[in-house]
Amino acid sequence: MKLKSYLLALCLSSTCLHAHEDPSDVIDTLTHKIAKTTDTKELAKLYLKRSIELRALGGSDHSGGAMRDIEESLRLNPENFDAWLYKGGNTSDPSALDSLGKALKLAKSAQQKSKAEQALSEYYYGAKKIGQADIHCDKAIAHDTENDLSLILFKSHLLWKLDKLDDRVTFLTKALGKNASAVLINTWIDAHIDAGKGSVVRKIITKEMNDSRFKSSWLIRSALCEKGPAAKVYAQQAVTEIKSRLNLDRPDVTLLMDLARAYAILGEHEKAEFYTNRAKQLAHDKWAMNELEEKIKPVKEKTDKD
Amino acid sequence: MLKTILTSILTSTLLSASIYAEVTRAPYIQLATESSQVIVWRTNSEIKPIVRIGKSVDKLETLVPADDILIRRVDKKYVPGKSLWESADVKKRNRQAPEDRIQFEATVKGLEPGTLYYYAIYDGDQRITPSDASYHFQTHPKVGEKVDTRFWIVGDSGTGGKDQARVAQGMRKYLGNQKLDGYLHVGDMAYGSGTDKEFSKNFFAMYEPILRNTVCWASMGNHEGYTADGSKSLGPYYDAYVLPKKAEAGGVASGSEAYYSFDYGNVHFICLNSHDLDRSPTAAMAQWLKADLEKTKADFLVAFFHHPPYTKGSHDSDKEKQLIEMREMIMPILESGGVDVVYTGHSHIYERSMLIDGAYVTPSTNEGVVLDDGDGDPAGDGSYKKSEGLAPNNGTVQIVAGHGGTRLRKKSNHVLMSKVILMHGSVMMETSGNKMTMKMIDADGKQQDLCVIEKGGKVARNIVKNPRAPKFMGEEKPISHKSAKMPKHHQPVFAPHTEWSYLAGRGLHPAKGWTKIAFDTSNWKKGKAGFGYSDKDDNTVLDMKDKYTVVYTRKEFQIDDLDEAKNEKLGLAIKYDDGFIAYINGVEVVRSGVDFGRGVTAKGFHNHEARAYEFFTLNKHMYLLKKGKNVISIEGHNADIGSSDFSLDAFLTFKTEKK
Repeated sequence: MKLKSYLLALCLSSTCLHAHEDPSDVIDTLTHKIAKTTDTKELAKLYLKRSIELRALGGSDHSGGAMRDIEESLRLNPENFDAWLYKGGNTSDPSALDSLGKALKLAKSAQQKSKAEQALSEYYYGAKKIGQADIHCDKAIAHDTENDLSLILFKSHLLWKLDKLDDRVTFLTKALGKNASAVLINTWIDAHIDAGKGSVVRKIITKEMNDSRFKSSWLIRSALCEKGPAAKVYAQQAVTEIKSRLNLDRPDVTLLMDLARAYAILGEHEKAEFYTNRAKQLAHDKWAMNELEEKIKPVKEKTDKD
Repeated sequence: MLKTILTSILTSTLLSASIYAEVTRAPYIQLATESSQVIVWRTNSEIKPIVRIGKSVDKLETLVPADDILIRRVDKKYVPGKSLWESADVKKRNRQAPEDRIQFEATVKGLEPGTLYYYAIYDGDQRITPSDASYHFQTHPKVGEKVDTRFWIVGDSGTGGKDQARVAQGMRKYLGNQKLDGYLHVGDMAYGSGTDKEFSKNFFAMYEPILRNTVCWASMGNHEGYTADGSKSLGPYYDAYVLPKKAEAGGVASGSEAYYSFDYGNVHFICLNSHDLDRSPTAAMAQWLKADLEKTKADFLVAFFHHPPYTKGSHDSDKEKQLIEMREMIMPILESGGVDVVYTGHSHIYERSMLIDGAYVTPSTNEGVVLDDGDGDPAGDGSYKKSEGLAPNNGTVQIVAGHGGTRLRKKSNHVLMSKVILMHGSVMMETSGNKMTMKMIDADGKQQDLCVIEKGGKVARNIVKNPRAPKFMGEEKPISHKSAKMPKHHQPVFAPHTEWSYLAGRGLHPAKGWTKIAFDTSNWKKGKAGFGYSDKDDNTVLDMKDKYTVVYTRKEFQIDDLDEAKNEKLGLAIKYDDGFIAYINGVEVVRSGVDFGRGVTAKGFHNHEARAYEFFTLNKHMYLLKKGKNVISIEGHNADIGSSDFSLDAFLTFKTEKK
């Protein structure tokens, strides 16, 4: 789970209404309560609640209001873990580090520590300090007793980013014993391919491809295990299938990403970049898009050589 | 009703049969597969759990091995922030259960597909469940087998109140002797915070007769999210359910109980967490969804989660982040995977869309996204036609089923809806052959909406230009208030027959906010109560007959000692003919004889004669009173413009013990 989703859920949990109303209604109620409340701690809680409701409405106007409420909440009660985590997680400038550092100091449970470390890792990742991001991701994983899949996937990405491809395979192999998710298995397969160990997972890929209704992602993995014409045959098959599913006016981002990869294998660089850019326009997740952009490059070069 | 009560008493007596242990959560079935079935129950002390099953209610010959009964105990050395459970795999369970609760989860294995079994639970030799054929389950048919199915879909029901009960009764009335194959709950099953206690009262007790033989496949609502964490699968919600995370019931493994899939014959079901997980298309849940959709070879595809991508009920899908993200990020994946129907809740209304595809933009528009703007009713505009199997982007029906028991609300009619109904109810989904039928069943068991998806051949994707507007049905029925006789002793807040401000005349209606304290009535007339004509009981005689039907009255009054007032029992004493709506400080507190609307939009009048003062208790509205100036506002309505008389004569009073 991403930090922001956690914060939303966590803070909404304290806005317990009998039957959930539209956030606008809740904001009105909270505004009314804020005007009437004099107790500082209670007031701090109300500002925190309102900031979360504002965030639930989205948009820059509401986000600005949400941050102002968070800051007011922290001014009234600086001992609030959730508010510091929220502030740090929603700030991109270096002051985020200060906020997250305070959150970490206030963290009591393992879950809180894991969340704070995860936020720090994401901050360093955004600041392109991948080594630091990796250190804090390790700490987040060490505190996480529930084998959170999103943390495992982030660590996998960091190892890929650091070009520690064998370490990534080892890490994911260990993780497989802790979480049964098909996403983890697929990432483990991808890690083998990235590490040049496609032959280890080739049989699994073939079996999965044969078992699947839609085969494009497995055709792409097959192509990545192959070289020369065989790779292009698989990639072309993937393109054909994806195009039969893709509504280009309103596309599924996951299919755009697959299409970009398939075109990269085919050596059709412009198309690969075009679909990557379309995917970037629709998806907000920086690290997955970063991985896609990077991954179409070596494939492109390899295909050129072939 | 009496039969139900007697059955409940009998059941609870039998379920408490053990001398020492009380069954605190009656047996309910979970996680059904082709070859296995989980049975869950709780007691308040140790028992020797024995589960027997058999194909005949009289012959429960097979004993479930003790090793297949997981016993979860609450750790009595509970430390806040740490696990409540003692044993290895149980740390994720019962975080809020009372310390003496023990949860048993028996997994019955080695069963035949599509087969009916009866079961009984024992404490050693003593039978806990009654010898009753309703304690049964039917294993799932083989994955892919073309069987008829019937699933019940409910959302936002968990109040523990009478509307929730009526919805369940309505379903049972509709169902008759037909069997349910499953129950999907789209979230908010335990108001207000999804605590363990709320689950017991508002979910398990309420649906006990259904849950003992029908698996509820749940998705987490925001109210369960107050106490549960989707990323960790922790909290009372996750304590309550045993959900697949290793593809036990079909689909691919999610590794999480927060989102999962299962198969029932040729129908594939996908449950997503729309509340507290990352909804990005590159995040773990969406990646799993993609993998799951790649694998399924079912004939029908159903998705369910809490936050609706399309609604204008009590929530607005164009304004709230979770709803927008489910639409923009998740729906493209579901539709390119060939989803047929999406069930959601959260918004307290029933809304059912036309056949749509690709409607992801914000705000929602009906341009270029409607494939069939008919009503989907074979007897009306005809069924929605789709290609055989799971064809990508071939059309989806969206159903918001947030009308399961809590207060209904509507902001407007969403442009993509075919039918919008503001009534309590639930949805019955049936598949047979190449048809999938969705019916809205109201709390009286009557069908209020029907649409059918019919599959066959290859259906081209045609966009409808200028699609029709939604059809709206029903209206929220205001709470009907019953009066009592005037109390023997009472102390008026202000005296009867004192002066009020009033507005009366043909075409005269007050401006918005007329019921609030700050409203200026300096241009209104003044007159002593009561108001009316013809029956010789009026202090202020009105010229209403054949001219107008509504009169607006306001009276300001003082409360000097609020603390003292709060110890009293406030009521409205009123003589009225035919109806009225009363407000205190801008909030409606009581109405009678007017079913719907207010002021100029009021309708649904009933005839009523003003014979004597009637007393309407307003205790629950005491919080509206303020120290100093307050205002009571009453609109009086005549049922008919030509009515022979009209009366409105009211005062506020405190009921007292002594004169």
